[in-house]
Amino acid sequence: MMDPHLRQELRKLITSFVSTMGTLTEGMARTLEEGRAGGLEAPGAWESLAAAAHRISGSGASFGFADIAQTARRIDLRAQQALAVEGLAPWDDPEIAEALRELAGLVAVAEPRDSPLFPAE
Amino acid sequence: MTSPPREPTRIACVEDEPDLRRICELTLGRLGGFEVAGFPDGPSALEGLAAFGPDLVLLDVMMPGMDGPAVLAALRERPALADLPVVFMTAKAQPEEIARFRALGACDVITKPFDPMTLSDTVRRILAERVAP
Repeated sequence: MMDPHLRQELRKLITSFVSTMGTLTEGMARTLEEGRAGGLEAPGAWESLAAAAHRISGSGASFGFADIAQTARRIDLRAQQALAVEGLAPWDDPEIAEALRELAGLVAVAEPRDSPLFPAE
Repeated sequence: MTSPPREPTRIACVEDEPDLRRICELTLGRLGGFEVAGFPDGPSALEGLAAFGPDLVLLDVMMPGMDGPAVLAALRERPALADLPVVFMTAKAQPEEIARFRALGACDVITKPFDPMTLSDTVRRILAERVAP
């Protein structure tokens, strides 16, 4: 029988993380939009994408959102590779567009109870 | 061989991802009965570890700015912290990477993603191995 305080804290933490994934994913989409509109430099945009994707990937994997973590990791790795290549902008990268579409789709339907760590009532 | 850790055993968790740091604090504290302190980065850990006095440090490898190996090297330069057992946490689970981390001075390596529900057991095992003859 799980400690009731731990149960409550885990439910809160995982629920919050699911919300955070949505916010981070929306932020990544906004980064691409702003870049297309000429409002961003590519290196900064790649770093922003990498940071958001790294967080979703790392914490997502630990919380048991394996598909989301895997997709976010693709974005993270791509961003890290691209940072070494001058001139490539994320908003011009079809790999990023596809991965972000996939990530947004997965995050949109993610529920806290999808996490194997989410305690039952 | 070292002495058994005191009770409650103190674990420091140096991890930049707030969700992971929180889950370490929760599971180690609530499930494991440890006294836990979380640090979001290397500089805050270097500042706070002496006061907290951990029995073991869980140290994330990939952190912005000062990464895990840099933190470990800095710990080893401080007499009060030089002998702290440090366990790296990393997604880089290849044997050669793990060997490199051990060569840097980590007493063990926990690969990510780790199961938060068994993290306490893993930490106890590591502590027990340090005491066992």
